[in-house]
Amino acid sequence: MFGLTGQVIGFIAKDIVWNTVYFPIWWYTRGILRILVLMKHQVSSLARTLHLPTLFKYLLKPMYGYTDIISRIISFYVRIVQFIVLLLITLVVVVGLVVLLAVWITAPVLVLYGVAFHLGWIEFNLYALIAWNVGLPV
Amino acid sequence: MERWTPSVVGMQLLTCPTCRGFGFELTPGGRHVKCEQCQHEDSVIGVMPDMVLYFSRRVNKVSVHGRRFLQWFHRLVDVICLVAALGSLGYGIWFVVQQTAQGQDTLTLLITPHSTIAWIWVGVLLVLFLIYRIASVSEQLKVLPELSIVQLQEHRLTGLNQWQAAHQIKGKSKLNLAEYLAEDGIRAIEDAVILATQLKHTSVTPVHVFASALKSPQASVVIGRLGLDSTTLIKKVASALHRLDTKEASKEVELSASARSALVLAGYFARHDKRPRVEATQLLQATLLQDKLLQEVFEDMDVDLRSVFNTVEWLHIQSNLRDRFKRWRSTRRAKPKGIMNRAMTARPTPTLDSIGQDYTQAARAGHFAPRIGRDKEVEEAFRILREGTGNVLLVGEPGAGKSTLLEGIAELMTMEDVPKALQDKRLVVMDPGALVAGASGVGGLEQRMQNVMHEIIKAGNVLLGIEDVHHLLGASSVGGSEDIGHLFMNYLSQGFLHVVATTTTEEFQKYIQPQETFLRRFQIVKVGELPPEDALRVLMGRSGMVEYKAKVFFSYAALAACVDLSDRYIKDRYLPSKALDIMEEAALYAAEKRGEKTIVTKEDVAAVVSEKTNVPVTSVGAGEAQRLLNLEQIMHQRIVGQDDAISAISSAMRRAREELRDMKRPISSFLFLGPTGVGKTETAKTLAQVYFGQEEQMVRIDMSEYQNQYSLDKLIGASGQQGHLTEAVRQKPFSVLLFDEVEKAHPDVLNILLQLLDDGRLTEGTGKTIDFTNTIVIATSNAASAQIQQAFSGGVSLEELKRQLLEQDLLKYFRPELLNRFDHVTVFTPLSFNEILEVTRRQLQGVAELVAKKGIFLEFSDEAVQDLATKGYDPKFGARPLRRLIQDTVDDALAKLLLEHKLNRRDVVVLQAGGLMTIRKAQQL
Repeated sequence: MFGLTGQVIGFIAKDIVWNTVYFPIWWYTRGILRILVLMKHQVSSLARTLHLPTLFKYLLKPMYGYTDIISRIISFYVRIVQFIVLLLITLVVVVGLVVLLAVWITAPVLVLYGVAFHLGWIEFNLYALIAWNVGLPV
Repeated sequence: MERWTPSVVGMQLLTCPTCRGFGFELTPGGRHVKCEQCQHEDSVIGVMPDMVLYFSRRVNKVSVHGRRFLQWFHRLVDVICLVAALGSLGYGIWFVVQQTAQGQDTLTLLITPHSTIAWIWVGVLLVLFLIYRIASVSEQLKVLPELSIVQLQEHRLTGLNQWQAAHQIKGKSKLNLAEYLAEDGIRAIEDAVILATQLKHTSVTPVHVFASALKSPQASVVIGRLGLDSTTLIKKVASALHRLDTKEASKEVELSASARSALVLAGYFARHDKRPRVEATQLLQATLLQDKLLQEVFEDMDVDLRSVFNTVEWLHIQSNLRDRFKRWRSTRRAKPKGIMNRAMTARPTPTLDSIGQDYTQAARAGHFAPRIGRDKEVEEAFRILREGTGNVLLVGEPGAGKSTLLEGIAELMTMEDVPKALQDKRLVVMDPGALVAGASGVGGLEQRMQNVMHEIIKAGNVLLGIEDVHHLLGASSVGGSEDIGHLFMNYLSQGFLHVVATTTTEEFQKYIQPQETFLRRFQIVKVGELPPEDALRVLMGRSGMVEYKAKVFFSYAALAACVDLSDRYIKDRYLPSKALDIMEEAALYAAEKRGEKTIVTKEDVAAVVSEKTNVPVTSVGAGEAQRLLNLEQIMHQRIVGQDDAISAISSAMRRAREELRDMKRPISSFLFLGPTGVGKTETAKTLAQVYFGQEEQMVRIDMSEYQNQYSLDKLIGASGQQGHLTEAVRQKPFSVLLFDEVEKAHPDVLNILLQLLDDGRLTEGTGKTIDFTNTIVIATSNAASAQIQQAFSGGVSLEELKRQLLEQDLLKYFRPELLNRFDHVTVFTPLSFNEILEVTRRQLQGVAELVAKKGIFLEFSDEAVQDLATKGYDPKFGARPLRRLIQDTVDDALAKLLLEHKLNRRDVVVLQAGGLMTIRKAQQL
């Protein structure tokens, strides 16, 4: 009886210890890798939806089959504007994804700092520093 | 028939020579010790061309309970984490909200140390921990490496110790299947161990694994689709389990060598079917294949191994289709809606749009059923189109799937899963009929065609599809000088068009093949009729939609019957289209008959096919069985005497109805010999009535009309023409085929008969193959009638007479090989006087039935019958003069009486000897 209870407690202890140790390791190795893969997928899916490569390829090709010079010039400008707009959208998404990566990397540190700071274990006030830097009234 | 076994080409199963695959050796004390050579690791190895598979995991009671406890514990921890995270966050946020309400500044509060606010951060930490737990668990699920068809070829290790060679393989090429089990797969193996322990069996056998795998939801679907009663199946499997050896309670059970082999086989099936992990269904397949007893259980329930494997494949097809649907849904949005391409270089194509349909738009909107199979043809079409100047001509039988192929190409274009040359393009399928319709005036059609071509060239983003392209050839407007086919050809030769056209094999031979210049612009992709097993896969893929529409469920047997019966009995159409139609009709039939949510059975399909073809294909019911068993009596209601012939025919029909016959030859073939007027033709008519339901299901060919060598052309058609026989059978493929007076036909005609009887088909002058496998062939002959008459008067036995006829007399008329081709040579005996009496009685009865329709009753005395029989009996002509006699005497006299108004309703006419008729007047009302 004692043996079985011991085994069960062993199982649980091993699981808890392992998960506690492996959590930060995973976060900064495989976790980051997953975020990078996600970023890649999102960017390529966006590119597919916005057809950026196609647009770039046909930058000099007149639109709607009108090949006279005026149409060519209009086409070129329209395509440039379109290209810039779509590029901006892409940029916004890319920035968003980079922010996600940054949040992923800093989250555990910030969270641990938050706990330690509010419990009074750390006196250095990072929040006040940030707020002061961004000009918040603190 | 040979027993079907699934192909396991591409895997070689090897077992450790020391422990024979068990992984343990038995000590003299009866204890299990690990095998020295394989160390209980890879006692059974499956060698595949790209890697080797083995199963190594110690599964015992402790490990099973341990894993299940851990699973439970993990779930518990997750729930605790979630509750704690929500609690912490809630508490912290509640505190901040409360403080803000009391006038504190929120920002200041958050950036000032406060132990209660730490709870918010603890909550966030727990959320991060939960993210880690969920993501890391999904990472532990390994996916089986994909196996390509190219890799799947016969592969064998050679040498004396093959297992040793496989054993020494290390690294990524050696796959432990224990790490690739789906949850239902692990559970099935664990339950098998527990089951074997509980039953005190010596080891875990495939039967244990099978019994445990049956509990999975997927297995229930398989059992349901197979139309099996799960309780009966479980009972039978349980009885199989109780036959296994038992052991002493204390010993631990281990996987037997055959169970290990089954697990490795399951790994093979999972890779073969492109499954991510080994699931319970693959365990079902593998254990069933591994264990003969289990196969017997299924065969006992009228389900063969092929049905089980096909049903599992059905599940996989449906799950793959769901995946494909998801992929299509996520990628189709990227395809532009409307006529404009993404590069925005296209031009509108109003004329083309008015006579064609944009298939890419239809595919984008989800209007097409998914394409199943035909990968090779699609690949070939893409290869041709990739060349830039290539155009594709899909040639195949109607209904073989040419249009579906076009739809499939459109679907792939929507997903942009196509060669670069086709990306950012749309497939517009033009209908030549619509092109011609509405084009009026001199040169109107040509102008229209030119407009279409110009639009396509200018737009630059159109892949042109043309259904039935042969309609373009030879079409021109009234007074128009140029054939639009030539016009089209000119545009093709310029190389600005990309075309995928379709045509049927017949039209291809007739119209396109002679036009070599036209043909040169295309590369042909043959779309042959799908073989039945591929057609079955198409039905499996489409069944979901039909089930959804008709609100019914298909059993596997029903689906297989759709393919099998349509293949056998519907000869003028092709697979898969004819089977798909039967499937849809059977679904509606079952829904109408039994209401919604019913199971469509094999019988429903058979009933639909029977209705369509007039052939009894439903399985023999109790009533019909009785009728078949009493066939002799039923036929004797019309035929007098001829017991030998009737009994031979009845036996042949019983065999045919139970399908105990060669399906590649006519149902049965008879040569009826005997003098005229003894009932040969009448027997054929009776057979048509009894077997095909009506006397009209008979094709009668009078062979005296085919006496010269040119007759053959008349019979099967000269080149490019239809023949009398072939056309008649094409129209009535299910019939009695009666060749009257066969001895009079020209020998060439008889040679054709030889082929018909042997192969069950003939090729008509038009090139079409006509199927005779659903006909009953009867040839009648008066040859050697004199000998038959003589033999009967001389009292020669029937057997002796038959022998004499076959060995001597008939050889003057027929070649021995023809005589041998008939299933039965039957001698019709001359009618005896007693039989003539019976015939007379029946014929008079027939006349009585005719006048009864006018309300008049005909009675006849025995003397009258005797008198007529005596006068009408002629041993030379059998019963034939009798019919004439009755016509001349009885029928005529009755007609006169009726015309003279001497007979009124309810009067009774009494026929007496000498043709005398008296009338008993009925009472006036």
